[in-house]
Amino acid sequence: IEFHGQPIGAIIAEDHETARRAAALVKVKIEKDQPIVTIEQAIEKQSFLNQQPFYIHSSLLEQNSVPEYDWSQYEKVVEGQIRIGGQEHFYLETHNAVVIPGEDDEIEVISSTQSASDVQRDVSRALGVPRHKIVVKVKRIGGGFGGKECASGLFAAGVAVAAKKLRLPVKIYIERFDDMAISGTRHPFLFNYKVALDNTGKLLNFDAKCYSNCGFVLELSQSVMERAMVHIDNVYKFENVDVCGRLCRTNLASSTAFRGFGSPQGMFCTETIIKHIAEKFGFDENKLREQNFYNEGDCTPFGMHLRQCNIRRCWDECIELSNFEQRKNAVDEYNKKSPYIKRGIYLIPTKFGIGFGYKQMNQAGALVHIYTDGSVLVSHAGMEMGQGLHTKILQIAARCLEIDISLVHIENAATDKVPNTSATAASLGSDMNGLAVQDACRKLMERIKPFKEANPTGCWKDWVMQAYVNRVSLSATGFGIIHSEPVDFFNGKGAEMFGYCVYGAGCAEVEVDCLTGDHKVLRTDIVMDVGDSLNPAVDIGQIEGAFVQGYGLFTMEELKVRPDGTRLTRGPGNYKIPSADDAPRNFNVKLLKGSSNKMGIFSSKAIGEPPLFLGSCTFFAIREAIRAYRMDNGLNDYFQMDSPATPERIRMACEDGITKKLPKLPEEGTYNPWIVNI
Amino acid sequence: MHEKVLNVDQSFDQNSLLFYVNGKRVEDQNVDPRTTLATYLRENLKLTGTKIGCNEGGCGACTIMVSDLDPATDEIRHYSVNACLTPVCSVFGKAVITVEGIGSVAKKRLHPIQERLSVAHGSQCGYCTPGFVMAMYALLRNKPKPNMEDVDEAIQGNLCRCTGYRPILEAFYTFTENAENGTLKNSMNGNSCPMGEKCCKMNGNSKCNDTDRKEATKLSSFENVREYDETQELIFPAELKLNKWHRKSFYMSKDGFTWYQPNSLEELLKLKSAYPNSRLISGNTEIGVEMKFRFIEAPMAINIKQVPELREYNLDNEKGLYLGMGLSLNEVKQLMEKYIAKLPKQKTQIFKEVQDMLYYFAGKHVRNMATIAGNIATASPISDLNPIWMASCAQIILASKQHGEKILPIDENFFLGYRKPSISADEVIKGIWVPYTKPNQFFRAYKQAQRREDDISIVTGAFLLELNENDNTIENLKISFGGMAPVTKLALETVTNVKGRKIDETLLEDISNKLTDEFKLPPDVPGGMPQFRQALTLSFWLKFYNEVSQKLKDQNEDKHSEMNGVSNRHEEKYHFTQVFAEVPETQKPIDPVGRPIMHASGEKHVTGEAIYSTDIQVAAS
Repeated sequence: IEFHGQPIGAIIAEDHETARRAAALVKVKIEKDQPIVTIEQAIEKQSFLNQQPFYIHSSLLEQNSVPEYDWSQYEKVVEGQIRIGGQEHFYLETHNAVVIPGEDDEIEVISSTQSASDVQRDVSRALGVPRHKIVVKVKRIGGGFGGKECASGLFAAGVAVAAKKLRLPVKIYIERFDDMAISGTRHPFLFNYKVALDNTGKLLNFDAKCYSNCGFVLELSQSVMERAMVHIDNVYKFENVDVCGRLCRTNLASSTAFRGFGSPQGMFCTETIIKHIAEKFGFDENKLREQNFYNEGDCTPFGMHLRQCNIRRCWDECIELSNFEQRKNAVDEYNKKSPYIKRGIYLIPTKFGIGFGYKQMNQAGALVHIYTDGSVLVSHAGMEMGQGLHTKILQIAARCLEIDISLVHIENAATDKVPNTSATAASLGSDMNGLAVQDACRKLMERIKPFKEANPTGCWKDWVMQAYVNRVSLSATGFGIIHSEPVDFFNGKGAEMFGYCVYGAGCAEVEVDCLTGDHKVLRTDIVMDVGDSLNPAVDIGQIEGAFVQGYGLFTMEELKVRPDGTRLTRGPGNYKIPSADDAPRNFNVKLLKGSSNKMGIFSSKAIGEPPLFLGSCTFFAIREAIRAYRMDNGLNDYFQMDSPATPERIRMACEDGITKKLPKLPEEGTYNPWIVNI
Repeated sequence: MHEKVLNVDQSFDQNSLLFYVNGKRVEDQNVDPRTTLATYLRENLKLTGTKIGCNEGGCGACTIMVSDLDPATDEIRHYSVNACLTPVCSVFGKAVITVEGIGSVAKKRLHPIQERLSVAHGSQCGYCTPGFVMAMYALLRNKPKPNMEDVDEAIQGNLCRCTGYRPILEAFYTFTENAENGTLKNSMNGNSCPMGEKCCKMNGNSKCNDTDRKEATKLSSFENVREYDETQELIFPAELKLNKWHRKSFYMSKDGFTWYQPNSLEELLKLKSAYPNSRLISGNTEIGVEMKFRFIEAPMAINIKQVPELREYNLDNEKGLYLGMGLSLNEVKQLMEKYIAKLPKQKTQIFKEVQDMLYYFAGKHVRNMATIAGNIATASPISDLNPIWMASCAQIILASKQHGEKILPIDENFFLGYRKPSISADEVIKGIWVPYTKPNQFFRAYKQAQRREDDISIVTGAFLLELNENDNTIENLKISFGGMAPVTKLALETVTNVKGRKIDETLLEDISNKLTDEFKLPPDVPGGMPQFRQALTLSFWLKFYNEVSQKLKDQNEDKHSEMNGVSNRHEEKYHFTQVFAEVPETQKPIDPVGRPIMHASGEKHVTGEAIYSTDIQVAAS
């Protein structure tokens, strides 16, 4: 047994409740071992999943070796540590699957997954049946957020074994209580950083060591670490960057993909550094940022040149949209008069690279059928998980075929329609599948063209019928790829990893009760560069949703794990995602105008993950409020504040007469705390 | 054990489960009493629009509406509940409305709630959506023109992981009295541009429209949505009314599990005396979760909800407000509101704190079912209410067949240990007396949780201070905390020798020091956060002290001190904008790319007709 909550078997019964009650009667004899739970414990015991660390050395872009730097030569240096906790996906629909055995070895799987082909692979392996006899179908899923990228197969494969043996349809539905124990979370990260700058605030050298808590198995941890490492620059140009990443193996459920995929963790480190520099040396953090923003054509430490770099535009427009300067003054005035309730306002910029890290995953297929009544059935490689992918694909197909959108339908995603698909992830759903559908539609339009030309006053249905009568195929597959170049993380040499980046900026104002640690978001403004939006309703929905999810990540969402590895957070009772009451009542989102993305379908950009990190502006706004309180109490220095900003962290950071009275905690390791920072 | 009461099933009016779902009669003679309504709807009735997201009443995906007749007054009530916590047996004689009952894409008729929520782009994955729809539906059935705070409260128990709530709020706020023709009167000051006064239109330049694409500031327009007409709603089934099912007793037994629904206090006490190990169920919000996840079985359950005597309440000039224990927490909250409005403010300070605490007690759907009795009997050390009862010297009435009624104060002796109240197995909590505050008393309660809404407290503190009317010195000080010990705990050491002392900085300091000593938590304390929890006790005391000193200073002024914390409720206005470029005027109307069209499944999300893999039925062999 590797972790608390690990599935060890399944019980098949006539109904769900009977099976659960039976499972609760199973007695398992286990000898207790000393578990590795935290990143620190893993480092101490050298428990890593990668024997060699991963690297990025910006110097390798221009030369063959990594120089040694004399850090004493710099005018200013900050050094520190910061950590960010994990996050439970809390999709509203928990993991589940239905497996229906067919003739002989045939198996049909209906799964709630982001990756039909991965479920197909897992079932195939479990049954020893080749994939052409296994059809996985996904109509829609009740939220994924990365949590159904890898884990779905675990449930489907087990059920498939039972279904095959019993020759009966079998369904599994994982209770929230069990889903949260089994299925893994966002990776918690610990960063050790060192940054040098000159007296004007120009960023010179950046050295970061990244540690992620991966749980017991590799799964997606390498890719997550890599994405963290290629986002740790956020939007800032450093003269030199050296990043090192280590994957900590612990006795916890396997940490997995979660919207942002390591990038929010990496960027959180950077933004903490900006704060650290500003507070330590007295810089205005926003001037510091503006001075160091990437410019058009700049190269990132991992070797990507930024084209159509819209960070300054997003930033400036967000300052304008939020009326930042005036409100910052108002906040300062408010804080002067208010001893215990403090406010904070904060701006955060972000950038997100679009593309899977593994080159071969950047491909998608489509299958488009036109029926003789003129109706069109589109199938593609992507799953609908609420992100509006099917809606966008319908729009794309309708445009390509020049027909009304009501004539186009998507039934589901299935492995017998489009094979060898990548997971619907990395925000790439509409980029990749859009291209594939466009490709298929182009073929069909070419075939229909002669009939259109022969009958220009006719309608779609006439042309389709003529094509059919003339024995022209009304079905076509399509294929799409997007740009990707692999970075050599083993040596640290970069490449043009992504086709493009998405940019954005966000601003939040919060109110904090410094006596209790309570807080409330008063207002949020976001400017996001989505290219030419395929669907502003879908894109703005993604931005608002990602922001609030990011807000949860950085504030109230706290995984609680006991020192022995027992997970306590297993339901909405003790794991808190933002509720409607937490959503700001002043919430403004603006799509950057006139940004036509040369690399995206119909000039659009991907949107699923990029806005999530903007949720951190609530964290930093809270930190500003805490800082105002600390300064009232004579504490002016930089203070480390780890994420999330729970009421406990907020209150304890508000050091005052009350916190002075509290008995000090004994040294770590001398007692058994209720929970540990994993 | 079952033989103790002979022919028990014959002594009940009904032993067949009967209720209505969406206007249709359901009768079942063979139900496992452990079955929840959510499971019954989904598995037995194939109504899969009601989703199960957590099975512990924490996410609201299973929200449905129950209509019934009050067993005491025969009045019709409509209330939202979590179907995942509701035993199906508890809806005996009631009418259930699910998302399928109010509108349908297939039947080409959406309910106005469903229409507006979809128009607002208020669904993404759609799994939480039926729950939100039904939460709002229950609100409109009670109050066709609600205000914005009503809407906020109605969806307290519903979580959405996709949208960030903005579009849901925007859709639902169109039903409020602040809205006219679907748009809110006071939300935008006439200009929807997020730039406000800096809007380029107001400054005469045309920056917004400097290309061929116009700038829009709203994704949705509610101008063409249907008006809400409450007279079009389903009527309460006549059969339930005629046959007075709400007055009947009911019994169901299967596989060794039994459900008793007595219809009088006498019957209830008889049952409890015959079966002291039976569990009393009102909302099933505690026992339901225990059964589901800790597999603690309750072979005999007694539903107290249909006992008319437990629904009594009355105001006594001396003793305060009596509340029967069959009243739901929301009904208690409404009674508090009613009497706070009627009585002098000074007298109802405890009522006010109970009312405020109840606003953030769980979510509204849980409060529609749960009772004070359940909260007391559960004796959770982190109960939100028990510190209030303890500091205010509330008293409960216990009733049993053998010993009749007795009155018991909720004081430092009431909770014997972790989850152990002083209630014997054959006793039933019948009611509680909530006292008034005297003219020279101050009463306040504070709670801090991980999240304000629908979360149990980390620490709750309640403070009662009585001053000598002549010299404002302390006559009596009571402080109690939840979350600081295995039981709700009264500060006893801290308040010794405070009698006669003045309200001044020295007192503030002394009490702080004494609280630090009395409420010390070991570093490995269960629940964790030892320093934070200790800090909260001192913070709450500081808040109370500041408020009292403020009041003593401005005796005549009724200032809302900032010590209360962050502005708890939302103001009656909001500002939501979505700025985007409309498609170029040259784009063909048929070309949908770039337009803010609705999610392709939007309408199916709001009606519950969207099918998920969980909705696929697999027949047992």
